[in-house]
Formats: sequence, C-alpha cells, structure tokens
Amino acid sequence: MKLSQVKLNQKVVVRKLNLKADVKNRLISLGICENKEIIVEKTSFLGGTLLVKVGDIRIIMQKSIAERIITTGGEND
Amino acid sequence: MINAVLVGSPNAGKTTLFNSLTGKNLKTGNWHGVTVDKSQALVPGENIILSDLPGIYSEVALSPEEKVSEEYINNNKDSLFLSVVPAFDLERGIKLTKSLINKSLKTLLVITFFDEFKKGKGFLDVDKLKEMLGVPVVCVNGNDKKDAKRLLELIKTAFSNFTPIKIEGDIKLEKIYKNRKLKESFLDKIFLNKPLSLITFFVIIFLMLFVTFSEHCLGVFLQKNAVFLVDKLKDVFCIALLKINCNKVVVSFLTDGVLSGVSGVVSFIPQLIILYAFLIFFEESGILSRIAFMFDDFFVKIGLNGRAVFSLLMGFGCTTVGVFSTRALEINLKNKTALSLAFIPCTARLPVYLMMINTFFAKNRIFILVLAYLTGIIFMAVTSSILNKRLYNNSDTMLLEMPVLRGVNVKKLLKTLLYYAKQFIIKVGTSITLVITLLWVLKSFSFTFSYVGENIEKSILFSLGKGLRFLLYPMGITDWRLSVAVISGLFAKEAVLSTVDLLFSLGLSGVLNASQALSFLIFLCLYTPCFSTLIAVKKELGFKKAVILGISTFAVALVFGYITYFCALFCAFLQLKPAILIIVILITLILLFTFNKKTNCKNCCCNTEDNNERNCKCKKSKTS
Repeated sequence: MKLSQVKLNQKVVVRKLNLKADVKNRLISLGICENKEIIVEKTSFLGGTLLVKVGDIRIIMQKSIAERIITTGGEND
Repeated sequence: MINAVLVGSPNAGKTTLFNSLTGKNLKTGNWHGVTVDKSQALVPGENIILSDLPGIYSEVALSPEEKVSEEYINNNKDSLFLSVVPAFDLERGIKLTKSLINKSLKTLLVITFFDEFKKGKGFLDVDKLKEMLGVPVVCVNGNDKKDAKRLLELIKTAFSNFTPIKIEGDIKLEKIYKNRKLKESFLDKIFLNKPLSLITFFVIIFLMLFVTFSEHCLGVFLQKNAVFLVDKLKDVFCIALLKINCNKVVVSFLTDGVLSGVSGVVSFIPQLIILYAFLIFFEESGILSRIAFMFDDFFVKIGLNGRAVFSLLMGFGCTTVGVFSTRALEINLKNKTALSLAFIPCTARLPVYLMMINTFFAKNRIFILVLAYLTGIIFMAVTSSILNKRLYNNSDTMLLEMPVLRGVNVKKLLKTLLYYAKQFIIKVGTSITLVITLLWVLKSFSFTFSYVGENIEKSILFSLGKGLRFLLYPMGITDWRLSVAVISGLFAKEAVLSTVDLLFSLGLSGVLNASQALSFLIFLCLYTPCFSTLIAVKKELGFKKAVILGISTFAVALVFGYITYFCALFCAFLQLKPAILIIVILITLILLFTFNKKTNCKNCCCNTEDNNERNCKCKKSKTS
C-alpha cells in the first residue's frame, strides 16, 4: 500500500522507495528507509501534506512523495 | 591558528553555538536551513577561527546549501570538525560523526539541547560514548556562557592531541542511551488540529496586524513619536543652516531631500520591529513551521509551498526585506515567491490607502480597507500560480523535519530583532534615502538643470507627470497632479502622500468621484512596488527580472484600474450597489482559481530514474 493511502495513526513498515536518487537519499538521511516502522500522524488542512513520525522525529512530507513510498502492515494488507 | 568547523544536521543548533562562542549575531531559527552560506569569525581572545556551515544530514550533498558544507569538508581536511548533534537525535546524528571519524578527520562530538533532553527524562552515558567513539564528547546548551568556555578548552586540547582511528561496524547505543519521552504538548494539539489551527492562525495574524497597524496601539504610537522627533530635528537643522547663510539649494537638498528620506525610513522602523518581533517569535518557537505544514495545501494551490510562508509574512512589513528573506528557498520557489511578493501590501502602502479611504469612503472604511488588502493578496496568489504554470514549473516538494515546539529565549529574540533592524536600516534604508533624494532632484530641477525651488511647475517630475497623465484618462482621472503623485510613488510608496499634500492644498476631496476614487485605489494597490524592492529583486534574481517585474506590475495595475472604472460606471448605470459587483468579481476569481487544476504530466513525479512509471497516474490515463 502507498504511504499516501495509509490511515492515520497506523504503524506501517516501509518496503520500497520508488523515488529519484536525491529525494531517496534525503529520505534515508531523515530516517525513512526500508524496513523502518513509520506512522502517519496528521494530515494538513486539505490532506495534501502528511506529518510522518519516524521514531522520535516528525517529518513534513508532501503527498507526491508519499505516493511513491510502498508500505505494508496497514489494516488492508 | 586553530581552524574549527561546526557541522551537523539542520536545526541542530550550530548557529546558536557559533554566536555564543564568537559573540557574533548571525540569524538563527527553529526552522530548517536558516544558514545558507558558510560564515567565519575569530573567537575573541583565542587563537581559533570558527566556521559555521549550513546543515547537512549525510555527507552526500543534496540541496545547494548542503553542497557548500560538503565542499568545505573535502577542502579543509586539517580543520577540527565539531560534529553538532542534538541530544534527542543521537541515533541519526552519530552517523555523520562516524563518517567524519572514519575519514581520519579531527573530530569532536558536541551534544546540544542537553538540558531539554534531561528534562524529558532522557539518559546518556557520556563516558561510555567517549570510549566507543574514541573522540572527545561534550554536552552543552547553546546559550550558556560556561559551556562555551568549556568547549573552547576542549577544542584546544582536541586539536593538539589527535590520533586517527577507524570505527568498524555499527555503533550500538541501546545500552548507554535512552531517548527522552516526547509528549505531545498541549499546544501541538491545538496547532495541528484542523479547525483549531485555522482559528489560531487567523487570531495570530489579526493580533499581529492589530498591534502593529491599528490606531491607539503600540505601533502607530511609536511611529508618530519617531516621525515627530525627526521632523523636529529637520526644523532645527534648517534654521541653523539658514542662519549661517547657506545656499538655498543646499538647504533644500539636505532637508527636503536627504532628511526627508531619513524620516521616511525612521517612520517605518517601529512598526517593522513590532511585526518582526512577532514573526521571529513564531519562527523560533516552531509555530511557523506548524502553520507552514497545516496550510501547505493552500500554498501548493497557488504554486508555492509552505516554506514560503515566512517570506510572505515578512512582505506585509516591507516588501524589500521579504524579497531578501527568500534567499533560503530553493531556486524555483525563490523566483515565484520573490516575484509575487510585489503585490503584497506593505507598511508603506497603508497610509496611502488610509488617505484615499478617509477622503472618499469614510462610510465603509473597514470594508474598503479589507478590499484593498484582499486585492493585493489575490493578485499575489494569481501571479504565483501563473508563474508556476508557465515558467517555474517543477515538482519542488516540501520534505523537512518538523522542529519541536520550544520556548523562546528573550535575549536571543532581541538579538535577532536587532539584526533585522540593522539589515533594514543598512540595506533598505540607504536605498530608500537615495531614491527619495533622487525624487527631490526630479522635483526641484528643470530639464535644463536649473534650480526651480518652489516653482514646481517647471520641474522634471512635473513634466513627466504631465506627459503620462493620459494613462489615467480611462479611469476618468484628468488631473495631472495625480499622475505626478503616482510617479513619485514609484520611488517610495509613502511619497504619494507627501506629493498629494504638496500639490493639493485642500486635500483630495472633490477632485475625484466615488468610481474614479475606487479605480484609482485599485490602481494604487497593484502598481509597481517601490524602487528599493526592484533593487532587491535585481540583487536576488537579476536585472532582467527586475525590469520585467516593474513594467508588468504597472501594466497590470493600469488594466485593472480601467476595468474597475468601467465596472463602477456600469453599476452606476444599472443603479446596482458596487459592493454586489465586487463580490461577484471575487467569487468568479475564486472559482476560476479552484477549477484550474493541474492536469499535465509534468506535475506528477514521472521523472523518476527507476523504472516504476507504472505507478504514475497520468501515464495510466494516457495508455488507457
């Protein structure tokens, strides 16, 4: 399931980052890498931007990036 | 001489450390990527040069400011690197430290925000960490003087006693490190709750504007006193000069030219300082990045993203300062933000609006004032979305860490404020003074460069105004004096006011009728920002863009002034209330805006390097 479809406050595990190398590196250095547990904590006013929690850190991420992060472990899987 | 360099992830507190060690006053902020260029300074009383680099997450550089850091690290291998890591982010930050150590660089681990970490019941065995890394480790709080001294001593010893080591395998922190428990603070619940955030946002903005701009409030009070003082000074100066029989031209140059420029600058300082105090507070405390996150959608809709919020809010104070503050943004976003800032109504436009409103629309003052501000904001939004579609279309997305809500250190806030005030006076103030002096030259000399003095009808400015007055004809305005006022407004917006005072001894009432006044007001809302803004745009984006911006804003203002006049005439003809028409126009604009959704392929992330384009929505729609 794409990260953008994950319900709020649900623990999911990152499986794949289908992103350009530079964005991918940035995500990894922010702490989002394969096999990492993450939670979508909040969405912005119209839902176009997500607040993703990785461990103790919260990351602001636009949906265009979240659409290309594949995760498992949500309710629908 | 010891060369020490601060490196670490964004928002780790490098600049705060830098400032407390060197006594300098660089801009800090609870916001990522505040430092965009490296800066260097000598530590007073010591033999140490300290450099501050933009934050990096890993040593593979990504954004332009991170490249500065990477290059510096690779070119200065004999420096001592202070790896700055916030205590609550040790697991991630230690990776950079490790890679510095493994490059055989002289490294010192500085752990910041240690007090905050301990308060949250975090635990760290510093001695064990030292053993594991083989380099000195020190825990500090950025603003503490004692900690700064301790750090300096350690820098000296670490620089002289150094043995390169290699760390094999991963660093296991589990036993010696327990992160603090992050409670979701009460405030976070408010700022990240959808309906509540909307309310708090508007309350914040309203409060900020109210304290700064409302009559009988602090901002206006201080402004009046400041202007009073400068005017007194001007009078005294003028009398003194006349007593010593100074040349009339020189007296006029010094008092009406240079000093009135200075008084123009001084009159803005109190309001700007109050507005910026609010903004700095929101930025430092982390509230601003919450606003940027919650309202990111709206910024995306107009082709920007949440990171532009700071510059846009700065623009309400002074467009020029707003343009300078876009420096920290990525290039495309910077272009869009800086160019669309031209329409944001700044402090200098407000007195002009108020003059028009008090003379012509005394009955519904608030409504017209809101309309004037909304016009500016709507045009800013339309400009940035057009720029996004036509010129600077790219998928620059916001991807950054949300800083923790933090109390603001008053001393630090005042320091930052002082820095901004200084920047305004030095960068903007000088250009405003210059431009107003230039205006004086145009006002008091004829084309043959003979001094005309009081006899303004012969001056260059007057001829220019007369020559260009036909531009205002379609607004029903035939009075050349208003076109002179418009031209002086190009130099500085508040000059419109002084020119009107000079040319109309009885004020503006009776010169225009309601529909002419409305169209003129709309024109004033939209037309070219002052020359100092154009100079700032030239510095940041280049000469060509500044010229294009100047001309196009003037043209847009003219066209919309004409349209307003015709609409007003039409209303009068049908005996409609103009308010209805204004509302209709607003609604159509908003509708146009929302239906104009992105549909082309460039906007989704098709431009990926891996072969996973199947996931892209628009590819699917093309093939099916």
